[in-house]
Amino acid sequence: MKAPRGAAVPETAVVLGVCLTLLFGTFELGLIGLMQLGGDGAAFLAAHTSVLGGDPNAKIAGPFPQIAKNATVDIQQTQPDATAVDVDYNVSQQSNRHGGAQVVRPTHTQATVTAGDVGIGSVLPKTSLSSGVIEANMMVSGVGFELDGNPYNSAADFAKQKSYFNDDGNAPPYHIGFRFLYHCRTAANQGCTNTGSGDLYAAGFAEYLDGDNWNRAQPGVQSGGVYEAMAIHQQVYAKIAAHLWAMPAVSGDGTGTVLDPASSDHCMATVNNWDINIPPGYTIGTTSIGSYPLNPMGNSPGCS
Amino acid sequence: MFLTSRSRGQTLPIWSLGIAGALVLAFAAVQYGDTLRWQIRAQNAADAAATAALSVQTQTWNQQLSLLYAASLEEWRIRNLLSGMQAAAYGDPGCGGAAGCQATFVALKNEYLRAVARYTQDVQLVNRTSQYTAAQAQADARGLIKQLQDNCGKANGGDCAFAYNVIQVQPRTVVNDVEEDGGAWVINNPGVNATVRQDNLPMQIEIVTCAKVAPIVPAFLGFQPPTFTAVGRAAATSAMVTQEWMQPGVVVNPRTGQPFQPVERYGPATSGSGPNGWNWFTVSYPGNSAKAFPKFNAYAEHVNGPEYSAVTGWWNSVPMKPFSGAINTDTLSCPAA
Repeated sequence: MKAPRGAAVPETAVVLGVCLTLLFGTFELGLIGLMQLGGDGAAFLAAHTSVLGGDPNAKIAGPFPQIAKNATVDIQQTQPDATAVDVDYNVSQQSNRHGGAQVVRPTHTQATVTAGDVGIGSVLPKTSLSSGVIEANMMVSGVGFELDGNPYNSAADFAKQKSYFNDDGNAPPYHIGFRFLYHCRTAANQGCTNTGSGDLYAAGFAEYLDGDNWNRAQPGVQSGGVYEAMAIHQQVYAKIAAHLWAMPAVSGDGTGTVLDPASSDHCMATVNNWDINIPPGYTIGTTSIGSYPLNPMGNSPGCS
Repeated sequence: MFLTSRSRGQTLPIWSLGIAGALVLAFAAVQYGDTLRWQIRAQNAADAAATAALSVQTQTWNQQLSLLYAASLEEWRIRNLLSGMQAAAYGDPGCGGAAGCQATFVALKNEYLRAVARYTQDVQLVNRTSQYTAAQAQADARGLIKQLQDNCGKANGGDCAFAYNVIQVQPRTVVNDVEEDGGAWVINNPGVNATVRQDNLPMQIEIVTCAKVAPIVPAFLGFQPPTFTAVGRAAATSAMVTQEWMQPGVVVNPRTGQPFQPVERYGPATSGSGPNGWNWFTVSYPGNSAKAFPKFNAYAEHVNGPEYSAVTGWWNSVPMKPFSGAINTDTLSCPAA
């Protein structure tokens, strides 16, 4: 029975060849798979690190040394999803603005990891691999209440966006604003005799939250509280209400009533003292903060 | 003869070794992929938890700022009603004679009494919402994380595979100053950091999620791979995500087609007898035109008449870079997944 034994060499050669090809192929496929998995993980880490302001290349070097060594990491930022800001603040007319808004929106930060010449190339050809992950990067758009007048979702607006932590608005909760009103210059049987804008006052409203009251010792409206001014104003308005309740009719001359700025109850005088006179045609912002100090905490001469 | 029947058996060890090698490689790939999957899952759990944790502070501040806006509108109404009542009480020609002035006065007075009642309520509500302290914000943040843990796998719950460890909850102290007076307001007062009581500072929180994960193939050819710890680390902070400056009597509400605060008429008198046609007997919310100066990062406006404007915003939490430095995860409680 020589014939079967004599066929062992070619049989072995054929079988071994197929075996080794399969084995090397499997091995190479495994290596490529590992590299792809590493690329996926590195892309996640790179995107995550980038949106937090870190260095993605440095971050992936530890857990993914092969990726850091053999692949390139590309970080790209693209616009956030379009937002519909239906309110028109008149931003297109830079000389006729009546407001504006800035919004923190998730910019798309994409990390792409690309590796070439992956594999051994003995059985399978060397290949290129790519992984990509998109993370949300919270950026301020419409900086400065859309100061540049660029529409939301525009490329110009996108180019100006900045990190919240580098923006002016990175502040504690605030509530400010302008309230300009006329003080009525009363005269019997003539009503309010103001004819020009000289009686225009910046009103010292009690509703403010800024550097003037953030650091008050107490919360709330109590004495020493953040919103103490609100309690003062409420009490004055309530006393005026009580006086008005007892004043059913008017005669054309309000002298001596609670509405008289010079009355002995001093209620209107107290209210008016919260405000400060603004020059006619005054241009806001031409003087530094504190040039026209409001007096919302004032309770002088005091309403009785 | 060297060719014997035994030589045919040489293929067996080659096959065996090859298959064993391929299986080891496959196992390693599966294990590697599983490790990555757990790490990403841990990170996602930490990210979501950190962002959710500060919601009580941000919602409380949103309530407070909304109430402040409502109260300031009411105070504007009160001040204008007082002027209108002065005009009526002193017989302003705009109210059309004694009878007209009397009717106007009564209408404005009644509205004044209602407005003061509303204002009183606003003051009480502002007082209530402003009692929220930094200590409460810290306790609430920790409480929310515990809730995520306790309700894991359910609605509003976290990922049951992980322990949620709060590393730190503390106020974020470096914030910009905001100031106003009768002639200007500024956000980020140049060169000045805000001086703020802790209760008014935005919180920041750092969280680590972790779990001890057994290998996906527990043992292989007598080899026992080690258990590894999947760790996610994330931080978030309260932030004023929408900031808005608005003259609500001028800017149009797109839902109604009218200004957000249209003119309010309370009495029969409608004539404008004040400066520049100003009508003492209505409550309006006018504005002045502002001009933008992007080069100077500023706006300016000539104040030619009354104005009501507000600058404020809405809070939410945003992710930030972890701030606690190196952390020894060995000291954390990490359950077996």
